[in-house]
Amino acid sequence: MKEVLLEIINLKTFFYTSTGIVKAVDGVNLRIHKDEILGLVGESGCGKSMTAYSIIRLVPSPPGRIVEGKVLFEGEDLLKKSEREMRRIRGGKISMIFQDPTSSLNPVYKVGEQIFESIKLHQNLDRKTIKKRTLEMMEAVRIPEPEIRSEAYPHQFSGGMRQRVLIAMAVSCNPTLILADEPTTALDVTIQAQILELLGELREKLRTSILFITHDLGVVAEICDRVAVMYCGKIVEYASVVTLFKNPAHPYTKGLLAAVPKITGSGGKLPTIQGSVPVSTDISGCKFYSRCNQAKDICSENEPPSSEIDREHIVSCFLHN
Amino acid sequence: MFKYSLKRISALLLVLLIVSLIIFLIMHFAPGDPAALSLGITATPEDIERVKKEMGLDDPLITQYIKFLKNAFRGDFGTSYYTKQPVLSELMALFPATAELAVASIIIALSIGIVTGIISALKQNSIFDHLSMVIALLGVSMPVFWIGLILLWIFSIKFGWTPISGRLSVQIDLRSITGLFIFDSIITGNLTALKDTLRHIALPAFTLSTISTGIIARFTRSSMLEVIRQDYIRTARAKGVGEMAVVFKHALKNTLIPVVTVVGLQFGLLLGGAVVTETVFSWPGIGNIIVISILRRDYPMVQGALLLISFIYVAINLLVDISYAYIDPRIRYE
Amino acid sequence: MNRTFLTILTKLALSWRALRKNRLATVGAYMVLTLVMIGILAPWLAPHDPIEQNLGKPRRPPSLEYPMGTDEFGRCILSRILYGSRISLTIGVTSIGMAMVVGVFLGLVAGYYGGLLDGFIMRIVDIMLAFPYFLLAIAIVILLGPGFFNIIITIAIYSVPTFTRVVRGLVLSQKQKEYIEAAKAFGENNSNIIFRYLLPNCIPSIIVYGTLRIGSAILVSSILGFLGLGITPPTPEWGVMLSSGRAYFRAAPHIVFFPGFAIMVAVLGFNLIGDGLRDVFDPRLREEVIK
Repeated sequence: MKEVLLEIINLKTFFYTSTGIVKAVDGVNLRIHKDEILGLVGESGCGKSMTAYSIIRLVPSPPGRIVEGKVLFEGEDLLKKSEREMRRIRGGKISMIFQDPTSSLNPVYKVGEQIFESIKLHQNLDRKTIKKRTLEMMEAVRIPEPEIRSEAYPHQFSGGMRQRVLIAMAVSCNPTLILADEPTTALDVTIQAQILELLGELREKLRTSILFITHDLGVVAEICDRVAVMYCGKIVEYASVVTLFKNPAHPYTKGLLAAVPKITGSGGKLPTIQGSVPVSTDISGCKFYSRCNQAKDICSENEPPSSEIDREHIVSCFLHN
Repeated sequence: MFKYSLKRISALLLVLLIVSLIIFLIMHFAPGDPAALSLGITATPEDIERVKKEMGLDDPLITQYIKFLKNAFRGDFGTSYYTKQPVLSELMALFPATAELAVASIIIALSIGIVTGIISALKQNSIFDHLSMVIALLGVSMPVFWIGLILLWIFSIKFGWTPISGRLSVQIDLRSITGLFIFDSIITGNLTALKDTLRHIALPAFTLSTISTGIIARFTRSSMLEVIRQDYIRTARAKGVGEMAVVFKHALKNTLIPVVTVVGLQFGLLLGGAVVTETVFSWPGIGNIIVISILRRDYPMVQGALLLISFIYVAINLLVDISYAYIDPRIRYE
Repeated sequence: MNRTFLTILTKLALSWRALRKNRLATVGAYMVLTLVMIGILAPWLAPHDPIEQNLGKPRRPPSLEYPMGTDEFGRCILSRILYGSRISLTIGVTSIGMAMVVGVFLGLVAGYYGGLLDGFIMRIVDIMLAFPYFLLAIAIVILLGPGFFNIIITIAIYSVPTFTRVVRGLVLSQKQKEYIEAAKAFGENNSNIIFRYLLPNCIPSIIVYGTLRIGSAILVSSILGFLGLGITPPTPEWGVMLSSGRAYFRAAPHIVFFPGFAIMVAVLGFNLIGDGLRDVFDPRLREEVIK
């Protein structure tokens, strides 16, 4: 049993807008172990990105606020730390990769300078050493001709290359945990494969854990060790990848899996999950009730409790209670 | 980028050419007989006819225009009807005053405008934000000559802190090398002259800057608001960059790039506003002379001054265009 | 043609409603409304005849008899300001109205037909805009000479380029859209397409810029008046009042203060409305440099 690196307990992040309260993260419990890639899957808007932002406390703070919960990292609650301490952790022990590499790099600074900055912020080294490390990082992420390329500007790179730059920035200080927010969604499928391979390699070499946020189950199958499925701000199922794909327990998970196009199989119409994500998060009972084809009466009245139906396989559903 | 510069230069030269044509035509068709005006009231009809021939006023329009252009190239802008001196040398004597005023105004406008814009953006919807934006709007709505006169009344008449007109008090002795008094007094180490010059330029420069300050403030604010919402700012924060550095290192450069374009436009406003400001403060510059010359029907002066101002405006626009292309790496490395 | 008229009316009505939500814009609207009321009711509101000189009482400070004092000829400043609002508003609305008609037409034509016509029109517009700020107005005034009508024409000519540029830009962006293609496929003739489809889309921007330009027009006419290049005395134009009062500034600042304040109120009012409308129609348009 691997050691637990990050534990999220009952995290709630709400957004106070002019049209009401949006409960982006509504009581999330999650565990990431050392040297593990945990996939966080769900539809757009289910709160996966917000969970990651909440971990490093980058929730946009006029409308949003972390209302409740604990985020235990290496034994300490991140939510109780000062902003100054958090800044040391961000980019250092915990770093983040974002979805759109094009907009995520500052267009007026050279790529090398931006990686340089990451290192300089967290490590007390002299300029020459940092410069060397910058080039090493670029090599590690397979950017060709790092010396020349480090003097270039982001717009002179292709999408895949830019994402490598972001990854280089993220791993430059040997983080223990990387939060990857849909890092391959904006890329071509072929580039996607390369980036996934790169991430796998880096994980091998540096033994970092990764929280891999995605809506693509195929990616999950390829790179993740464990998976958590998220819906409407809550975790509905959590298991190892193999278990999830073989024995999905929650109706939502089953629906997601069924909707993935397969090469084998009978062909015919691709099943979908009826209905759509509820707009208001103020419904009582299970949030999936309106779309569930195995719903019972009790599901609309009470929130389903989480139960462990197998070793390290947790589900929030009345079917398994 | 070199190609880009060449393209811009040639386009602007064309504009300059046509502008000069328009100025020439306007002067030509303006009411009043140039020959009569240049001779004055005492001229006899024979004198007028003679001068007309001398000036080539009977030649076809094209010939006159070409002669005008040729002369302009040689630096001959004609002779003032009023002072009987060559127009160019008169204008050159007045030019440094306007230049100094314009530069001082732009410096004030940029300093106050950019800082206000940044603070307003960072503290969006605060009292400072609302107040400064309202003041910015007022600045654009108030006529420059009114602001000038009010300031004049408060500071010069009521408090007596600043002088009423001119660039330098009569009793101060300043060796003028460039014609830019602030500069000259610094290089000649003349402290009294420096203080006196600053006291004279303070009010006019501040008055002239009011037009631009408001616009620059509003523009910087909206630019900063947009930049601060960008993804790369989020990346910077995720890297652990502190808020100060996020604003001044990551955001600032991106914010200021569009502001540079607005600054170029400001020069146009400034040159126009200078006409009014110089009149109010009796500042001996080109703006002042245009008005006086129009009223005196000293058309060569008007023509020369308009040409000069247009030329400067076009040149400044060119500079701004090129510097914009230089500053923004996305354009620099095509 | 009727439909276009209705569309315009509807857009105006909608903008009025949206405007009311924006506080500053409402203030501006009331300012302008007050000015218009003053202009209309001037003969009844003014305590004295604006032109009547009273050389025995020059440069009096504000008092009960003369609420804003008298100018150097003993004329009642308040009355002159009240009548002056007629002048300024007339100049503003007339010149911009003219500029709008010509400018919008040129913009529509240039944008829609493109080619040589477009090139020609835009060259002229670029040249006009190449003159710094209101120096173009000064140049035109030199040509035409001072006087009430000349000023209106000067400012009209001076304001045409803005409208042309804006409308042309809008037409260019709409030209590619499908509904225009569809209309053409239907066999609609060109003028119909221009006036019934493209023009209504330009209305919001035209209204925004129109309002802002009226403020600008009032400002420029007062500047010209101040410089002595504009309206001739004894017409009570605010800029002229200011310039003639300058000589007595030291002892009688009120001669200068009140007209300037009136100018500010007028320009500010229109600017607020224009800004508010711009926020309503397209927040992206913010920070266009208009003066």
